[in-house]
Amino acid sequence: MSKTAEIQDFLNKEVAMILRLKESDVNENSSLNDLGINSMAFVELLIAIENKFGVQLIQAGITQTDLSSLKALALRIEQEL
Amino acid sequence: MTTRQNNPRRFYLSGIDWIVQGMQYNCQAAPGGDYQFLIILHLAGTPDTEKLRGCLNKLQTMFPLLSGKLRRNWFNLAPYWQAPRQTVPKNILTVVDIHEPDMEQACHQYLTGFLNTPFKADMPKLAAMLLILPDGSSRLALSFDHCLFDAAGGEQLVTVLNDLWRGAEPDASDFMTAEGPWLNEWRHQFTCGRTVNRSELAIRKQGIPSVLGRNSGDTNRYILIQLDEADFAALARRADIEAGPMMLTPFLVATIQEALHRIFSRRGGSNSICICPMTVSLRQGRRDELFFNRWSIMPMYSSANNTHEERLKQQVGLFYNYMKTKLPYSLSKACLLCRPLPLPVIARFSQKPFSAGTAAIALLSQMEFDSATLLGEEVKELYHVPRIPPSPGLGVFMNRRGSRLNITLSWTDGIINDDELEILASAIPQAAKPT
Repeated sequence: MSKTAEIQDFLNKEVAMILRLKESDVNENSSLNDLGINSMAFVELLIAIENKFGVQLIQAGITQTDLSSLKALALRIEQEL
Repeated sequence: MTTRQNNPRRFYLSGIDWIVQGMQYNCQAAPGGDYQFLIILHLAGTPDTEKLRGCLNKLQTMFPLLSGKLRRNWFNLAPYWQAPRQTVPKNILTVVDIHEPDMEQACHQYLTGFLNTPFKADMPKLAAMLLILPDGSSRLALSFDHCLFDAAGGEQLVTVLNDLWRGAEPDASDFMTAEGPWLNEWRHQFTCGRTVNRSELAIRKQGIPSVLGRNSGDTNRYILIQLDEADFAALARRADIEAGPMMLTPFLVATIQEALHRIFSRRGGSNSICICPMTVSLRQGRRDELFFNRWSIMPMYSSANNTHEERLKQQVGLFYNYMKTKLPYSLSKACLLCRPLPLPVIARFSQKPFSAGTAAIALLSQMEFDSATLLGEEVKELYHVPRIPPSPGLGVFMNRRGSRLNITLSWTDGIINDDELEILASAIPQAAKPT
Protein backbone atom coordinates (compact mmCIF):
# COMPACT_ATOMS: atom_id res chain seq x y z
CA MET A 1 0.00 0.00 0.00
CA SER A 2 1.41 3.43 -0.97
CA LYS A 3 1.84 6.13 1.65
CA THR A 4 -1.03 8.17 0.17
CA ALA A 5 -3.32 5.16 0.21
CA GLU A 6 -2.33 4.39 3.80
CA ILE A 7 -3.11 7.96 4.88
CA GLN A 8 -6.37 7.91 2.93
CA ASP A 9 -7.44 4.65 4.54
CA PHE A 10 -6.59 5.99 8.01
CA LEU A 11 -8.56 9.20 7.40
CA ASN A 12 -11.64 7.37 6.12
CA LYS A 13 -11.70 5.08 9.17
CA GLU A 14 -10.96 7.85 11.67
CA VAL A 15 -13.57 10.27 10.28
CA ALA A 16 -16.19 7.52 10.24
CA MET A 17 -15.38 6.66 13.86
CA ILE A 18 -15.38 10.27 15.11
CA LEU A 19 -18.59 11.19 13.30
CA ARG A 20 -20.20 7.80 14.06
CA LEU A 21 -20.80 7.08 10.39
CA LYS A 22 -20.50 3.87 8.43
CA GLU A 23 -17.14 3.54 6.70
CA SER A 24 -19.02 3.13 3.44
CA ASP A 25 -20.44 6.66 3.91
CA VAL A 26 -16.95 8.16 3.86
CA ASN A 27 -14.67 8.25 0.81
CA GLU A 28 -11.79 10.29 -0.56
CA ASN A 29 -14.14 12.82 -2.14
CA SER A 30 -16.05 13.48 1.09
CA SER A 31 -15.80 17.02 2.38
CA LEU A 32 -15.57 17.45 6.16
CA ASN A 33 -18.11 20.27 5.98
CA ASP A 34 -20.61 18.09 4.14
CA LEU A 35 -20.11 15.28 6.63
CA GLY A 36 -21.20 17.71 9.37
CA ILE A 37 -17.98 17.97 11.35
CA ASN A 38 -17.80 20.56 14.15
CA SER A 39 -14.85 22.17 15.96
CA MET A 40 -14.59 19.46 18.60
CA ALA A 41 -14.74 16.56 16.15
CA PHE A 42 -12.23 18.34 13.90
CA VAL A 43 -9.76 18.74 16.75
CA GLU A 44 -10.25 15.04 17.59
CA LEU A 45 -9.25 14.27 13.99
CA LEU A 46 -6.21 16.58 14.13
CA ILE A 47 -5.04 14.87 17.33
CA ALA A 48 -5.49 11.43 15.76
CA ILE A 49 -3.38 12.60 12.77
CA GLU A 50 -0.70 13.95 15.10
CA ASN A 51 -0.61 10.69 17.09
CA LYS A 52 -0.38 8.54 13.95
CA PHE A 53 1.92 10.57 11.69
CA GLY A 54 3.52 13.11 14.07
CA VAL A 55 2.18 16.00 11.98
CA GLN A 56 0.78 19.05 13.77
CA LEU A 57 -1.50 20.46 11.07
CA ILE A 58 -2.72 23.30 13.24
CA GLN A 59 0.85 24.59 13.57
CA ALA A 60 1.51 23.97 9.88
CA GLY A 61 -1.28 26.40 8.93
CA ILE A 62 -3.99 24.16 7.57
CA THR A 63 -6.38 25.93 5.19
CA GLN A 64 -9.96 25.47 4.02
CA THR A 65 -8.59 24.17 0.69
CA ASP A 66 -6.89 21.30 2.54
CA LEU A 67 -10.30 20.35 3.90
CA SER A 68 -12.18 20.46 0.60
CA SER A 69 -12.00 16.65 0.50
CA LEU A 70 -10.35 13.85 2.46
CA LYS A 71 -8.10 13.32 -0.57
CA ALA A 72 -6.87 16.92 -0.30
CA LEU A 73 -6.29 16.42 3.43
CA ALA A 74 -4.33 13.20 2.78
CA LEU A 75 -2.12 15.03 0.26
CA ARG A 76 -1.48 17.81 2.76
CA ILE A 77 -0.47 15.30 5.43
CA GLU A 78 1.87 13.59 2.96
CA GLN A 79 3.46 16.96 2.16
CA GLU A 80 4.16 17.55 5.84
CA LEU A 81 5.75 14.13 6.41
CA MET B 1 -14.63 -0.47 34.30
CA THR B 2 -18.36 0.21 34.32
CA THR B 3 -20.73 -2.42 35.61
CA ARG B 4 -24.37 -2.67 34.66
CA GLN B 5 -26.85 -2.61 37.51
CA ASN B 6 -29.53 -5.23 37.84
CA ASN B 7 -31.90 -2.95 39.74
CA PRO B 8 -33.52 -0.79 37.03
CA ARG B 9 -34.98 1.61 39.59
CA ARG B 10 -31.61 2.70 40.92
CA PHE B 11 -29.49 4.98 38.69
CA TYR B 12 -26.09 5.86 40.15
CA LEU B 13 -24.94 9.42 39.50
CA SER B 14 -21.78 10.14 37.55
CA GLY B 15 -19.24 12.66 38.90
CA ILE B 16 -20.71 15.42 36.73
CA ASP B 17 -24.22 14.56 37.97
CA TRP B 18 -22.99 15.03 41.52
CA ILE B 19 -21.49 18.44 40.61
CA VAL B 20 -24.86 19.35 39.08
CA GLN B 21 -26.52 18.38 42.37
CA GLY B 22 -24.15 20.88 44.02
CA MET B 23 -25.24 23.59 41.57
CA GLN B 24 -28.85 22.69 42.31
CA TYR B 25 -28.12 23.12 46.04
CA ASN B 26 -26.66 26.58 45.35
CA CYS B 27 -29.69 27.59 43.27
CA GLN B 28 -32.06 26.46 46.01
CA ALA B 29 -30.07 28.39 48.62
CA ALA B 30 -30.82 31.63 46.68
CA PRO B 31 -34.36 32.90 46.02
CA GLY B 32 -35.83 31.76 42.70
CA GLY B 33 -36.03 28.39 41.03
CA ASP B 34 -34.08 25.18 40.81
CA TYR B 35 -31.13 24.51 38.52
CA GLN B 36 -33.33 23.98 35.52
CA PHE B 37 -33.54 24.94 31.86
CA LEU B 38 -36.23 25.56 29.30
CA ILE B 39 -36.44 24.37 25.72
CA ILE B 40 -38.71 26.81 23.93
CA LEU B 41 -40.29 25.98 20.59
CA HIS B 42 -42.09 28.45 18.36
CA LEU B 43 -44.85 26.57 16.55
CA ALA B 44 -46.68 27.81 13.46
CA GLY B 45 -50.04 26.56 14.82
CA THR B 46 -51.57 25.49 18.12
CA PRO B 47 -51.60 21.79 19.00
CA ASP B 48 -54.63 20.08 20.62
CA THR B 49 -54.07 20.76 24.32
CA GLU B 50 -55.85 17.63 25.57
CA LYS B 51 -53.86 15.39 23.24
CA LEU B 52 -50.68 17.14 24.42
CA ARG B 53 -51.69 16.58 28.06
CA GLY B 54 -52.24 12.90 27.26
CA CYS B 55 -48.76 12.60 25.71
CA LEU B 56 -47.18 14.29 28.75
CA ASN B 57 -49.03 11.81 31.00
CA LYS B 58 -47.68 8.94 28.88
CA LEU B 59 -44.15 10.33 29.29
CA GLN B 60 -44.54 10.24 33.09
CA THR B 61 -45.75 6.64 33.01
CA MET B 62 -43.08 5.65 30.54
CA PHE B 63 -40.26 7.23 32.55
CA PRO B 64 -40.82 6.83 36.33
CA LEU B 65 -37.37 8.44 36.72
CA LEU B 66 -39.15 11.79 36.22
CA SER B 67 -40.85 11.30 39.59
CA GLY B 68 -37.74 9.94 41.32
CA LYS B 69 -35.67 11.22 44.22
CA LEU B 70 -31.99 11.54 45.15
CA ARG B 71 -30.77 8.84 47.53
CA ARG B 72 -27.40 7.64 48.85
CA ASN B 73 -26.11 4.15 49.32
CA TRP B 74 -25.82 3.72 53.12
CA PHE B 75 -22.67 1.61 52.77
CA ASN B 76 -20.47 3.47 50.27
CA LEU B 77 -22.32 6.83 50.15
CA ALA B 78 -22.59 6.66 46.35
CA PRO B 79 -25.52 8.90 45.34
CA TYR B 80 -28.19 7.54 43.05
CA TRP B 81 -31.54 8.49 41.59
CA GLN B 82 -34.33 6.26 42.81
CA ALA B 83 -37.30 5.79 40.50
CA PRO B 84 -40.63 4.98 42.22
CA ARG B 85 -42.29 1.58 41.74
CA GLN B 86 -45.43 3.13 40.29
CA THR B 87 -46.19 6.50 38.81
CA VAL B 88 -49.54 8.25 38.84
CA PRO B 89 -49.40 10.91 36.10
CA LYS B 90 -49.83 14.50 37.26
CA ASN B 91 -51.02 17.48 35.27
CA ILE B 92 -47.79 19.20 34.29
CA LEU B 93 -49.18 21.35 31.46
CA THR B 94 -50.12 25.01 31.93
CA VAL B 95 -52.03 26.59 29.05
CA VAL B 96 -52.11 30.38 28.71
CA ASP B 97 -54.08 32.40 26.15
CA ILE B 98 -52.18 35.57 25.33
CA HIS B 99 -54.45 38.58 24.77
CA GLU B 100 -51.99 41.41 25.44
CA PRO B 101 -51.31 43.73 22.44
CA ASP B 102 -47.54 43.24 22.77
CA MET B 103 -47.45 39.47 22.26
CA GLU B 104 -43.67 39.14 22.40
CA GLN B 105 -43.39 41.04 25.66
CA ALA B 106 -46.22 39.01 27.20
CA CYS B 107 -44.62 35.72 26.10
CA HIS B 108 -41.27 36.82 27.52
CA GLN B 109 -42.87 37.61 30.88
CA TYR B 110 -44.64 34.27 31.11
CA LEU B 111 -41.53 32.37 30.07
CA THR B 112 -39.31 34.26 32.55
CA GLY B 113 -41.81 33.37 35.27
CA PHE B 114 -41.75 29.74 34.13
CA LEU B 115 -37.94 29.70 34.17
CA ASN B 116 -38.03 30.84 37.79
CA THR B 117 -40.67 28.41 38.99
CA PRO B 118 -39.10 25.57 40.99
CA PHE B 119 -40.43 22.04 40.70
CA LYS B 120 -42.79 21.15 43.54
CA ALA B 121 -41.65 18.30 45.79
CA ASP B 122 -44.51 15.99 44.85
CA MET B 123 -44.44 16.78 41.11
CA PRO B 124 -42.33 15.27 38.28
CA LYS B 125 -39.07 16.94 37.27
CA LEU B 126 -40.62 18.06 34.01
CA ALA B 127 -43.16 20.81 33.36
CA ALA B 128 -44.73 22.27 30.23
CA MET B 129 -46.27 25.62 29.35
CA LEU B 130 -48.22 26.30 26.15
CA LEU B 131 -48.70 29.93 25.21
CA ILE B 132 -51.45 30.43 22.61
CA LEU B 133 -51.03 33.62 20.61
CA PRO B 134 -53.85 35.62 18.99
CA ASP B 135 -52.43 34.97 15.48
CA GLY B 136 -52.98 31.21 15.89
CA SER B 137 -49.34 30.35 16.51
CA SER B 138 -48.07 29.06 19.84
CA ARG B 139 -44.99 28.70 22.03
CA LEU B 140 -44.33 25.45 23.83
CA ALA B 141 -41.85 25.62 26.70
CA LEU B 142 -40.65 22.50 28.49
CA SER B 143 -38.87 22.93 31.81
CA PHE B 144 -36.21 20.29 32.58
CA ASP B 145 -34.47 19.60 35.86
CA HIS B 146 -30.73 19.72 35.11
CA CYS B 147 -30.19 16.96 37.68
CA LEU B 148 -31.98 14.60 35.27
CA PHE B 149 -31.31 16.11 31.84
CA ASP B 150 -28.64 17.97 29.94
CA ALA B 151 -29.49 20.13 26.93
CA ALA B 152 -29.10 17.35 24.36
CA GLY B 153 -31.07 14.96 26.59
CA GLY B 154 -33.85 17.55 26.76
CA GLU B 155 -33.98 17.64 22.96
CA GLN B 156 -34.06 13.83 22.92
CA LEU B 157 -37.11 13.93 25.20
CA VAL B 158 -38.81 16.38 22.81
CA THR B 159 -38.25 13.76 20.09
CA VAL B 160 -39.88 11.08 22.25
CA LEU B 161 -42.82 13.43 22.94
CA ASN B 162 -43.20 13.92 19.19
CA ASP B 163 -43.12 10.15 18.63
CA LEU B 164 -45.88 9.67 21.24
CA TRP B 165 -47.96 12.35 19.51
CA ARG B 166 -47.60 10.47 16.21
CA GLY B 167 -48.92 7.30 17.87
CA ALA B 168 -45.65 5.44 18.23
CA GLU B 169 -45.08 3.30 21.32
CA PRO B 170 -41.37 3.59 22.06
CA ASP B 171 -39.74 1.18 24.51
CA ALA B 172 -38.65 3.09 27.62
CA SER B 173 -35.69 0.76 28.23
CA ASP B 174 -34.11 1.98 24.97
CA PHE B 175 -33.64 5.41 26.50
CA MET B 176 -32.14 4.68 29.92
CA THR B 177 -29.48 2.37 31.25
CA ALA B 178 -28.59 1.97 34.91
CA GLU B 179 -24.81 2.02 35.35
CA GLY B 180 -22.28 2.26 38.14
CA PRO B 181 -21.64 2.65 40.98
CA TRP B 182 -18.08 2.90 39.57
CA LEU B 183 -16.38 1.59 42.71
CA ASN B 184 -13.76 -0.47 40.90
CA GLU B 185 -11.67 2.12 39.04
CA TRP B 186 -10.03 4.10 41.83
CA ARG B 187 -6.55 4.12 40.28
CA HIS B 188 -7.91 5.43 36.99
CA GLN B 189 -9.91 8.11 38.81
CA PHE B 190 -6.82 9.28 40.72
CA THR B 191 -4.80 9.38 37.46
CA CYS B 192 -7.53 11.54 35.92
CA GLY B 193 -7.50 13.69 39.07
CA ARG B 194 -3.80 14.35 38.52
CA THR B 195 -4.48 15.63 34.97
CA VAL B 196 -7.18 17.95 36.33
CA ASN B 197 -4.94 19.17 39.13
CA ARG B 198 -2.15 20.03 36.67
CA SER B 199 -4.57 22.06 34.54
CA GLU B 200 -5.88 23.91 37.57
CA LEU B 201 -2.34 24.80 38.67
CA ALA B 202 -1.54 26.05 35.15
CA ILE B 203 -4.58 28.35 35.26
CA ARG B 204 -3.70 29.70 38.70
CA LYS B 205 -0.33 30.82 37.32
CA GLN B 206 -2.16 33.07 34.81
CA GLY B 207 -3.54 35.44 37.46
CA ILE B 208 -6.61 36.16 39.53
CA PRO B 209 -9.83 35.53 37.61
CA SER B 210 -12.32 38.37 37.31
CA VAL B 211 -15.78 37.71 38.66
CA LEU B 212 -18.88 39.76 38.02
CA GLY B 213 -19.73 40.10 41.70
CA ARG B 214 -22.75 39.58 43.84
CA ASN B 215 -26.25 39.45 42.47
CA SER B 216 -29.51 40.34 44.14
CA GLY B 217 -30.52 36.73 43.55
CA ASP B 218 -34.19 37.37 42.96
CA THR B 219 -34.78 36.26 39.40
CA ASN B 220 -32.98 34.67 36.50
CA ARG B 221 -33.50 36.67 33.31
CA TYR B 222 -32.70 36.02 29.69
CA ILE B 223 -32.60 37.53 26.23
CA LEU B 224 -32.47 35.74 22.91
CA ILE B 225 -30.19 36.83 20.07
CA GLN B 226 -30.69 35.18 16.70
CA LEU B 227 -28.32 34.99 13.77
CA ASP B 228 -30.06 34.19 10.51
CA GLU B 229 -28.54 32.00 7.81
CA ALA B 230 -26.64 34.85 6.11
CA ASP B 231 -25.23 36.28 9.36
CA PHE B 232 -24.24 32.85 10.66
CA ALA B 233 -22.51 32.03 7.38
CA ALA B 234 -20.62 35.35 7.57
CA LEU B 235 -19.60 34.60 11.16
CA ALA B 236 -18.37 31.12 10.21
CA ARG B 237 -16.37 32.59 7.28
CA ARG B 238 -14.71 35.12 9.56
CA ALA B 239 -13.92 32.39 12.11
CA ASP B 240 -12.36 30.31 9.31
CA ILE B 241 -10.14 33.19 8.21
CA GLU B 242 -9.12 34.51 11.62
CA ALA B 243 -9.06 31.43 13.89
CA GLY B 244 -8.51 28.74 11.27
CA PRO B 245 -10.78 26.32 9.46
CA MET B 246 -13.45 24.64 11.62
CA MET B 247 -12.48 26.79 14.59
CA LEU B 248 -15.87 28.41 15.12
CA THR B 249 -16.07 27.36 18.79
CA PRO B 250 -12.76 28.99 19.86
CA PHE B 251 -13.74 32.07 17.80
CA LEU B 252 -17.07 32.38 19.64
CA VAL B 253 -15.37 31.93 23.01
CA ALA B 254 -12.80 34.62 22.16
CA THR B 255 -15.57 37.00 21.05
CA ILE B 256 -17.47 36.54 24.32
CA GLN B 257 -14.27 36.96 26.34
CA GLU B 258 -13.46 40.21 24.57
CA ALA B 259 -16.89 41.56 25.53
CA LEU B 260 -16.32 40.46 29.14
CA HIS B 261 -12.92 42.19 29.23
CA ARG B 262 -14.57 45.39 27.93
CA ILE B 263 -17.14 45.16 30.73
CA PHE B 264 -14.44 44.75 33.40
CA SER B 265 -12.43 47.56 31.84
CA ARG B 266 -15.48 49.89 32.14
CA ARG B 267 -15.87 48.88 35.77
CA GLY B 268 -12.29 50.02 36.29
CA GLY B 269 -11.24 46.95 38.23
CA SER B 270 -7.84 45.30 38.10
CA ASN B 271 -8.90 42.81 35.48
CA SER B 272 -6.30 40.17 34.82
CA ILE B 273 -7.93 37.07 33.35
CA CYS B 274 -11.40 35.86 32.47
CA ILE B 275 -12.18 32.20 32.95
CA CYS B 276 -15.13 30.88 30.98
CA PRO B 277 -15.93 27.26 31.76
CA MET B 278 -17.19 25.88 28.47
CA THR B 279 -19.28 22.76 28.51
CA VAL B 280 -18.40 20.09 25.97
CA SER B 281 -20.45 17.03 25.11
CA LEU B 282 -19.17 13.57 26.05
CA ARG B 283 -22.10 11.83 24.36
CA GLN B 284 -21.43 8.66 22.44
CA GLY B 285 -24.47 9.12 20.20
CA ARG B 286 -26.40 6.28 21.84
CA ARG B 287 -30.17 6.31 22.29
CA ASP B 288 -29.92 5.47 25.99
CA GLU B 289 -28.22 8.77 26.80
CA LEU B 290 -31.50 10.61 27.32
CA PHE B 291 -31.21 10.96 31.10
CA PHE B 292 -28.54 12.56 33.28
CA ASN B 293 -25.56 14.74 32.40
CA ARG B 294 -23.13 13.69 29.72
CA TRP B 295 -20.86 16.70 29.44
CA SER B 296 -17.70 18.06 30.94
CA ILE B 297 -15.86 21.36 31.11
CA MET B 298 -12.98 23.10 29.41
CA PRO B 299 -11.81 26.12 31.42
CA MET B 300 -11.17 28.66 28.63
CA TYR B 301 -9.22 31.65 29.92
CA SER B 302 -7.77 34.78 28.39
CA SER B 303 -5.78 37.76 29.57
CA ALA B 304 -7.10 41.33 29.34
CA ASN B 305 -3.86 42.46 27.74
CA ASN B 306 -4.07 40.14 24.75
CA THR B 307 -4.74 41.47 21.26
CA HIS B 308 -7.56 39.96 19.22
CA GLU B 309 -5.10 37.77 17.28
CA GLU B 310 -3.33 36.63 20.44
CA ARG B 311 -6.62 35.75 22.08
CA LEU B 312 -7.78 33.73 19.09
CA LYS B 313 -4.50 31.86 18.98
CA GLN B 314 -4.68 31.21 22.70
CA GLN B 315 -8.24 29.84 22.53
CA VAL B 316 -7.40 27.55 19.61
CA GLY B 317 -4.31 26.36 21.54
CA LEU B 318 -6.29 25.75 24.74
CA PHE B 319 -9.01 23.90 22.84
CA TYR B 320 -6.44 21.67 21.14
CA ASN B 321 -4.40 21.00 24.27
CA TYR B 322 -7.40 20.23 26.45
CA MET B 323 -8.56 17.71 23.88
CA LYS B 324 -5.06 16.26 23.55
CA THR B 325 -4.64 15.81 27.31
CA LYS B 326 -8.24 14.52 27.51
CA LEU B 327 -9.05 17.07 30.20
CA PRO B 328 -12.86 16.94 29.73
CA TYR B 329 -12.87 13.15 30.10
CA SER B 330 -10.42 13.30 33.03
CA LEU B 331 -12.56 15.89 34.81
CA SER B 332 -15.68 13.78 34.45
CA LYS B 333 -13.86 10.75 35.86
CA ALA B 334 -12.04 12.67 38.61
CA CYS B 335 -15.36 14.10 39.86
CA LEU B 336 -16.37 10.54 40.78
CA LEU B 337 -13.90 10.85 43.65
CA CYS B 338 -16.09 13.61 45.12
CA ARG B 339 -19.20 11.51 45.49
CA PRO B 340 -18.61 10.43 49.11
CA LEU B 341 -18.60 14.15 50.08
CA PRO B 342 -21.71 15.75 51.60
CA LEU B 343 -23.81 17.88 49.24
CA PRO B 344 -23.04 21.24 51.00
CA VAL B 345 -19.32 20.57 50.44
CA ILE B 346 -19.95 19.76 46.78
CA ALA B 347 -22.01 22.96 46.53
CA ARG B 348 -18.96 24.95 47.62
CA PHE B 349 -16.70 22.97 45.32
CA SER B 350 -18.93 23.73 42.33
CA GLN B 351 -18.38 27.48 42.93
CA LYS B 352 -14.61 27.28 42.54
CA PRO B 353 -13.17 29.39 39.71
CA PHE B 354 -12.15 26.31 37.80
CA SER B 355 -15.75 25.22 37.50
CA ALA B 356 -17.65 28.50 37.93
CA GLY B 357 -15.42 31.34 36.69
CA THR B 358 -16.50 34.59 35.06
CA ALA B 359 -19.28 33.36 32.79
CA ALA B 360 -20.37 29.94 31.64
CA ILE B 361 -20.42 29.14 27.91
CA ALA B 362 -22.14 26.28 26.12
CA LEU B 363 -22.55 25.48 22.43
CA LEU B 364 -24.87 22.74 21.23
CA SER B 365 -23.65 22.26 17.69
CA GLN B 366 -25.68 19.15 16.92
CA MET B 367 -29.47 19.04 16.92
CA GLU B 368 -30.92 16.08 18.83
CA PHE B 369 -34.42 17.20 17.88
CA ASP B 370 -34.21 17.80 14.14
CA SER B 371 -37.79 17.23 13.05
CA ALA B 372 -39.44 20.01 11.02
CA THR B 373 -42.71 19.50 12.91
CA LEU B 374 -43.67 19.01 16.55
CA LEU B 375 -47.14 17.92 17.69
CA GLY B 376 -48.27 18.23 14.08
CA GLU B 377 -47.23 21.88 13.79
CA GLU B 378 -44.29 23.39 11.92
CA VAL B 379 -41.36 24.26 14.19
CA LYS B 380 -40.34 27.84 13.47
CA GLU B 381 -37.65 28.03 16.13
CA LEU B 382 -36.06 26.09 18.99
CA TYR B 383 -33.79 27.49 21.66
CA HIS B 384 -32.56 26.74 25.16
CA VAL B 385 -32.78 28.98 28.21
CA PRO B 386 -30.66 27.77 31.12
CA ARG B 387 -31.05 29.02 34.67
CA ILE B 388 -27.58 30.03 35.84
CA PRO B 389 -26.45 29.24 39.40
CA PRO B 390 -25.65 32.27 41.64
CA SER B 391 -21.98 31.71 40.85
CA PRO B 392 -21.02 32.67 38.15
CA GLY B 393 -24.49 34.19 37.62
CA LEU B 394 -24.03 34.72 33.88
CA GLY B 395 -24.15 32.26 31.01
CA VAL B 396 -24.10 32.24 27.23
CA PHE B 397 -25.86 29.29 25.64
CA MET B 398 -25.69 28.79 21.88
CA ASN B 399 -27.52 26.22 19.80
CA ARG B 400 -27.51 25.62 16.07
CA ARG B 401 -30.87 25.21 14.43
CA GLY B 402 -30.38 24.27 10.80
CA SER B 403 -28.22 27.00 9.28
CA ARG B 404 -29.04 29.50 12.02
CA LEU B 405 -27.50 30.23 15.41
CA ASN B 406 -29.49 31.04 18.55
CA ILE B 407 -27.69 32.70 21.44
CA THR B 408 -29.32 32.99 24.86
CA LEU B 409 -27.82 35.28 27.48
CA SER B 410 -29.00 34.22 30.90
CA TRP B 411 -28.14 36.02 34.15
CA THR B 412 -29.25 36.54 37.73
CA ASP B 413 -30.64 39.91 38.69
CA GLY B 414 -28.14 42.59 39.54
CA ILE B 415 -25.02 40.88 38.24
CA ILE B 416 -24.82 42.97 35.08
CA ASN B 417 -26.35 46.34 34.20
CA ASP B 418 -28.16 47.30 30.98
CA ASP B 419 -25.13 48.94 29.33
CA GLU B 420 -22.96 45.92 30.08
CA LEU B 421 -25.64 43.61 28.81
CA GLU B 422 -25.71 45.55 25.54
CA ILE B 423 -21.94 45.07 25.16
CA LEU B 424 -22.33 41.33 25.59
CA ALA B 425 -25.49 41.04 23.50
CA SER B 426 -24.01 42.87 20.54
CA ALA B 427 -20.64 41.10 20.57
CA ILE B 428 -21.49 38.08 18.40
CA PRO B 429 -23.86 39.87 15.96
CA GLN B 430 -21.13 42.51 15.44
CA ALA B 431 -18.57 39.80 14.78
CA ALA B 432 -20.82 38.59 11.95
CA LYS B 433 -20.67 41.99 10.23
CA PRO B 434 -17.88 42.77 7.73
CA THR B 435 -14.93 44.51 9.41
